[in-house]
Amino acid sequence: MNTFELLFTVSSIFWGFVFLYLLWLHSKIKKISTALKSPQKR
Amino acid sequence: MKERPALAAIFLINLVSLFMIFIWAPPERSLGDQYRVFFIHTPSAWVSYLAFTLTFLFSIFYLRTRKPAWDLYASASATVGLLFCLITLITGSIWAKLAWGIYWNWDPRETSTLILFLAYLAYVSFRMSVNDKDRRARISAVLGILAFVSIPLSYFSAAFWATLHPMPLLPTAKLRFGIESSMLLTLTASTIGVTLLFLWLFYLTLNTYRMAEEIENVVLEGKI
Amino acid sequence: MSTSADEPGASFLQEVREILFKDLRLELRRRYEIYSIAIFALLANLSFGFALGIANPNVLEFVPATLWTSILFVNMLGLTTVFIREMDKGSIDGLRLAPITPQAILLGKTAYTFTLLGLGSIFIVPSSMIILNYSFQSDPLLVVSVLGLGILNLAVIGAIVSALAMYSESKALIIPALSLPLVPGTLIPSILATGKLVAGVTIDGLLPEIQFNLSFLLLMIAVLWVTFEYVLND
Repeated sequence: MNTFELLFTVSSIFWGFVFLYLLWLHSKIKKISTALKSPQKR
Repeated sequence: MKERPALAAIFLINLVSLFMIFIWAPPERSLGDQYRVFFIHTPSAWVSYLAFTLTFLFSIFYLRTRKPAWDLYASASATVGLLFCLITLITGSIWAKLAWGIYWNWDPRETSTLILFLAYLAYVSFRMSVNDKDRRARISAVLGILAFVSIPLSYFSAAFWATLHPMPLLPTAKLRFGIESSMLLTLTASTIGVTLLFLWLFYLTLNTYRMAEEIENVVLEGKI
Repeated sequence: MSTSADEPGASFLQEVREILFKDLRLELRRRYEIYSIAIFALLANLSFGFALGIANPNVLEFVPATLWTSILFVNMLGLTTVFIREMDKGSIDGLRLAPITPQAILLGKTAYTFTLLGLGSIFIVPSSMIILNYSFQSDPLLVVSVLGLGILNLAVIGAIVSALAMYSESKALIIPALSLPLVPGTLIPSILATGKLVAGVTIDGLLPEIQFNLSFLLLMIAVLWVTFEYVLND
């Protein structure tokens, strides 16, 4: 793996995980706001 | 929304530091261009250590004041810290594989970062397995303190073991920093960028946990 | 035993002793734990013997690790019920209300775990020596003290993990997770020390390992001294 590939991989890991984390937070928030809007369905 | 400028600043700083990491910083003498991974791996490690130190402090504050806010802070900090710890471990092992041929070295610093990861994984899983709010906060606080204390103990044990068993040096041991100020600058920029990213994620996580807590409270009071 | 209203140190030790004896008495009635420890010891050592190849000339390299793995597993699998069973039986409230300081309860439970682990080691170590065919070249008193210190540290870990786990919904799963970060700090020095003890060493050669284990013990007790009451009392 040459240097460019290495750096690309490592940066994508870093930002990839950050992005996945944001997705996870987002889905958690979605779950909470649906719970707010339709209380009986919980 | 007043968050916009802050967000823009964070991304701008990180963009600039990425540029510095990839292009501006000069190649290192013995490791060539591969060493640039260091600028992503090391700030992540520092930030995860910061996060868990914060969890430790927040845990102490919770036990002394019993204010639920401190428990939320401790929990949010641990979660985001776990993220950066995972990034540290993965980027570290990729770099080790490339520079040294093996993914894992049992080097003391690596090992204690792994134990740090496991400790906070235990913290987070423990929180998920307790339903009572007060109990969860109280016991997690003790766990946050214990977990923090276990790290130096593991580190020094592993370091002592390393003195008795020869092991290959981590790539970082070969880096020479005092020489190039541009490298130092790149490291500083990257550290600032990653730390700001951490603070922003911490803020987001904290708000999410707060919202979840609100729902729990409202449900408990029978308003829904 | 005289009443010791004017000797706070003595009454603390009395409290620790009471907890220890209470649990020992329970154990003597049923003996379920000590029997399973003995069987486990035999099983573990046989497994290690088969895995390493009994006639393996390099077996000495692995002996410390196998020994401490056996002891660790006895601790984690068997002895982390010290607090959990109080919770299950409902006697945890009795413990909380009794006029005994939380620290004494923790130390009493630790002492109980240490006693059982110690008795277990009396099975584990000799059967290991027989099956894997080695002996300790160092002074027996030194061997007992150094191993004892390591076991004491594991007992402390077992006690606090049990106390933390009793509040969890998934006790069995959370016990290894909670123990894992705490164990290396004491396990590594113990394993290193055992290797040296098998090879033959005087106390001077063991000073670093002993210091590590002692620091572990003191640090853990210090932290738990301050925080345990938050764990015990709801």
